[in-house]
Amino acid sequence: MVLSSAGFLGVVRAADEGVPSGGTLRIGWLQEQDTLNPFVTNTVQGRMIQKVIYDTLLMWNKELVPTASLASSWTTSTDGLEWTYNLVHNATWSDGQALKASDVKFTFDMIKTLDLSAFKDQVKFISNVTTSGDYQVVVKYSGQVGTIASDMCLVPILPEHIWTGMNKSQALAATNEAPVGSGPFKLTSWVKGTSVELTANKDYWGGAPHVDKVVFEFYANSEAMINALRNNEIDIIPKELPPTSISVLNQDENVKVATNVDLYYREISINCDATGQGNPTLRDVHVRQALSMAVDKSVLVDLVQLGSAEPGSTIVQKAASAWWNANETLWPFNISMANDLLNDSGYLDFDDDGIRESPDHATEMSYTLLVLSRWPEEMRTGQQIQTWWQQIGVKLTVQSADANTINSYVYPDYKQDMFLWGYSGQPDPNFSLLIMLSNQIGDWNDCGYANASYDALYDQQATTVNVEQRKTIVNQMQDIIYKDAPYIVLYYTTAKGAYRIDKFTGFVNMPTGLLSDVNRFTLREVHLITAETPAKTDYTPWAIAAVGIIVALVAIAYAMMRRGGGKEVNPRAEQRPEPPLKK
Amino acid sequence: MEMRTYILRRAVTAFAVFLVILTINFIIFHTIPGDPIRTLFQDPRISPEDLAQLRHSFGLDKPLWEQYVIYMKNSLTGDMGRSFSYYGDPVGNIVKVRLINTLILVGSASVLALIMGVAIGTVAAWKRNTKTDFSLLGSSLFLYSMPTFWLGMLMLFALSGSVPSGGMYTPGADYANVFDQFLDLMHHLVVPMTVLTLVLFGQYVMIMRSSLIDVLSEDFIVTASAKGLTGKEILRHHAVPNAMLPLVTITAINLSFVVGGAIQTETVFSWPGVGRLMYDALITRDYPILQGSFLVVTAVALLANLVADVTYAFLDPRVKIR
Repeated sequence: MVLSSAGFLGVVRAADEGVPSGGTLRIGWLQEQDTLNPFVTNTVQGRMIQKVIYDTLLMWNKELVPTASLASSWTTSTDGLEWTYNLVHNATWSDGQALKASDVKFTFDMIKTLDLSAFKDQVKFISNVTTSGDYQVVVKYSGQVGTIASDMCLVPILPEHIWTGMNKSQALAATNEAPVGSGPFKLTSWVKGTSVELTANKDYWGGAPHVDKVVFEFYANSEAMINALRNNEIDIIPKELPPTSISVLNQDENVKVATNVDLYYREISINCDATGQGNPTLRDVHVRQALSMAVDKSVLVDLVQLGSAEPGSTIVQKAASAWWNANETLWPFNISMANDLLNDSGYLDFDDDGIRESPDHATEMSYTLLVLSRWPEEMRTGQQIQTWWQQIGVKLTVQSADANTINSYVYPDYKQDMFLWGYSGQPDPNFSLLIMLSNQIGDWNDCGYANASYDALYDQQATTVNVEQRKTIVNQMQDIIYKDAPYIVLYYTTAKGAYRIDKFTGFVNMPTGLLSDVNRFTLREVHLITAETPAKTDYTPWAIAAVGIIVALVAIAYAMMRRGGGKEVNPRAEQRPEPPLKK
Repeated sequence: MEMRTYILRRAVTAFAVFLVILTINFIIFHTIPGDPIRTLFQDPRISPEDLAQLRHSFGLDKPLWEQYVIYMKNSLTGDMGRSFSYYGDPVGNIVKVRLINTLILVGSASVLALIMGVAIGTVAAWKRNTKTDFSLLGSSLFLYSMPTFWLGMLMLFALSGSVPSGGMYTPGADYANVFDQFLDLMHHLVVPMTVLTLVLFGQYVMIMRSSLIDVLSEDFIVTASAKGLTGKEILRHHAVPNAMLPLVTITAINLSFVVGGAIQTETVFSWPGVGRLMYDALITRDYPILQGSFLVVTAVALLANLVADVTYAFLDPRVKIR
């Protein structure tokens, strides 16, 4: 059964012929990558850089559907257990060596043998990888797997001659400062805390990028970064614009704001861990449902995100539109319904202090919400929810904390009541669903939710190859979590970016934004509007100004001292009566 | 002979203080809540075994006292360990680069602030209780009390378009030669340096002014005046040199404070200095970086104070060594 054939990239390249090449695309960002090691990177920035340095066998296209990449075509056996990938013939590593099927086999074998957690899930069911010639790889699976195509969009193919012979701790500790990859760009410098520079791979098998260089410039605050975009110091801000800046940028005729759905939501994670130390009333599903009903998400979207988000519902990000459960019947924001539910469940205000107690009178419904300190805007979310919950007899204390402090509450003892957090996902829902598995408690599962039938459905969807059947299961799982409400998903955020339109064109605005770990199209397709020899910046006037200021200040200082001394002594200065100042 | 003992004693004291501070550093950073390895590898796909492996490779599985002994030994031999977040880079290399960046900014601003402070303070003291005095002192105080980040933002927006919005060098620039690179640096330096100078010089003005007023009321000034010296001569040869003594101390104290405390300026102008490094390290619980940069800042502080003490002894014969 042929699932795909070559041509996707070829088509793109053909259409691009004749565009001017050259230029340096300057990108502003607020956080740099943590590391260049693909096995330990844990930031969106890190994964984004990985995606342009390395290739994957398949990649998500602009509609987030897996398509050909390093594998120009692939076939599966009728039982679905054997996948055969045909590699492109002209791929080379950035050190000049040819990329061969043996590199692909090596990559999977290495992840499997060393049990490298970053891509462990993607190779879990692979039983054996063989090569046939230099350009064909056959991957055999031990059972039916529903996520193979998207798994292949995640695992970067690494050069055997660089990574061979490493043991596990070497692989994890590798700094990979000069990565050897096969992707459209090579990393040429990383000045930590300052900038990252990528140079176009002119020999890229899929066609060289049009720009010569891409530079990521690190800004310590968003105001300066926006200022830099407006002043033509940078060409693009991929996705970190604060909502407040959008109306300003919309007025700038040289700048275009580009927003799109993002694979990201923010949620309140409620501690329902049976052995945890959070408020025990939260383990009652009715309590969580009542709390959930008493949150008006559309108000939060307007108030906190200034309209640039969508109200949240399920734990699959809305941008993963193929899998997001659009039919979820949402609870309306309804204070009296929430009150009724709590009354019916026996949570009443026994001691008349305005706060309900548990049916056994032992525990007050008084909770602490931890909010990440680097999201100051979410304090408003907390305060708003505080007033809503007050109306259902629940006392909420909102507290700001940094990520570490929150982590130390959650792990390993689940001491928190609830905290506000966010998750980014993949185009495939597998990861988003995994968060709620009971075997993830202590790991991804930060709310302690455990449900055996949910766990069983997870395994079932992971091994269901038929997309429609898998969708049914995935929908069911989203429904379970929505109704059990361990997470109150507040909103699906929007990727908010902007770029200048006077110099480059060809920016690709797709779900996840202008540039992301899924979107490397922008960097490949962006090009100068007109070929130009970039005018060399002349620093001289300002350097002269800097030196001038120094000289002038010194001169003024000197002159003042001379003048002060040169004049007749101020008669009052000679009078002694002024009392000496004590120190 | 005496002087040598004095210096030696000062140095020994400084070293003892250094050891105490090292210990306090260690304690402080290990009582902050949060497991650094957890923070660093928030990706829970990392298995417990991998975590243990990482903990081991950073030496975090050893008992606390053993970590302390290793830390003291390494600190004293200049080995500040390896960063958690910049995957195993030696802390020394990271801090060194950042310290140089900070010194470029802070050093130039401090020197300018000192020169302006002495000059304006002298004039203000000389013309005390005149309009000149009030306006000079008033404007110095005004700038001194201005929040750094706010002044920085105002300057950034006011000069926007003609100076860079941040950083030390133009991203992606190819320099024809070192001079070009220097010019680019100056271009980036001019505004942050000016901002820092403006907020720093006020205190020098105040100290210089009051110190000079003190000196001007001393008997030897009357004597000098009685000898028939002109006001200019009295000021330049008798009053100002004496009045500048407190500035030696205040400069030393300031230098150490400013090296770590320029974080506001560094944040507004995205200047990759040591202040921001410390802040980022605090967020990620990167103990080695935190300890390393605190160590360096401490060393700068102690060194500056040592130099101040010794300079004092040379400048002021009254400081005698008993």
